[in-house]
Amino acid sequence: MKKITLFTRNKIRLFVLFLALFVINGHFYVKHYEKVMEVLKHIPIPVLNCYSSPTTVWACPIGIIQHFFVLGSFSFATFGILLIIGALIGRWACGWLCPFGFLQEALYHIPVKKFTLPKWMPHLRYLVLLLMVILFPLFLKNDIGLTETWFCNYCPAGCLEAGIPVPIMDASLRYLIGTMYWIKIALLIFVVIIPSMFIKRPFCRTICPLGTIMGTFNSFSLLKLKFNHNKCVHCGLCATDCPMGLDPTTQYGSSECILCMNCTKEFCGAIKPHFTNNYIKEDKPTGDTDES
Amino acid sequence: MFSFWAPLVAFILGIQFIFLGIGLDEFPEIASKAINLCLG
Repeated sequence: MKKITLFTRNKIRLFVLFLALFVINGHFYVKHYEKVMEVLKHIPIPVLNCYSSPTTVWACPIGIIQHFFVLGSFSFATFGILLIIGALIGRWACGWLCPFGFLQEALYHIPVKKFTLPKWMPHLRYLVLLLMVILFPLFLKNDIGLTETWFCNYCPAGCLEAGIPVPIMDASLRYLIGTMYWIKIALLIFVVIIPSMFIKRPFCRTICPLGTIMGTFNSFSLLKLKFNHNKCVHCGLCATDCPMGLDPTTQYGSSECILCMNCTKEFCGAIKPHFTNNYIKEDKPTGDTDES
Repeated sequence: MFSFWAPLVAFILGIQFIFLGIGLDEFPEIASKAINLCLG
């Protein structure tokens, strides 16, 4: 079986992911600095890390967006923060900071037979964003006539980071465990944990609403990739090392790209990162103009 | 052209949205949201 090199190709990213895991879930050491905690809790960051988690010190933007929709309002501040981050770095945080993405990539290193995701499946994430994050929290009322934060109700990241540890740590909350809890556990296992061993980042590619929002910035963010056709030797290594299962030679500006920079580490040097607001013209292969 | 102006527009819009959020007192609401959603 081919050796999986998602992390080993880019050790800096592995280090940053580890660091982000502890910075985002820094409750244990930040709790001694209550004023710092007070400030951090106000700030949504562009990674899927449940704010109900006992360890997290930041706010989850998807939870906040839904919460404001439930209140019949709109969180300008959250969208403002996402706009600024998106304009600067696009979906970079998905590849370098997100603990839930980190978990999926780590699971993919388990040596079992690997599969590719059907091409239509990544489009499902737009449906999830539209229904679970926008329309249902705005309009779908429950038995007592209130709308709910629908994505949070089923969020596998929330289940892993809060749903499992909270009742373990606080026995008085265990009476709340009901059918939905077990549905969430099943979703976590069968939609994220098991598929992640066989498919690259299945949750990020087919469900994650935050990745979908941040991915729309990829087309114009300051941080972008440039592909040089003339340097490409068509070895396919960059596609093998892409944690999102993309072919970077044709999909380097895609909304699915998490700017992990794995493809920039290949020996050919055909793909390079750039930080500019100038439109980057692709280097066409010499004598060939029909390549997109 | 789109690629040139879009990040600038998004950045300025983002700053305006944050100030609007401060004006609408959104941040205390964001911080108060750490309730337990994950049992049910």
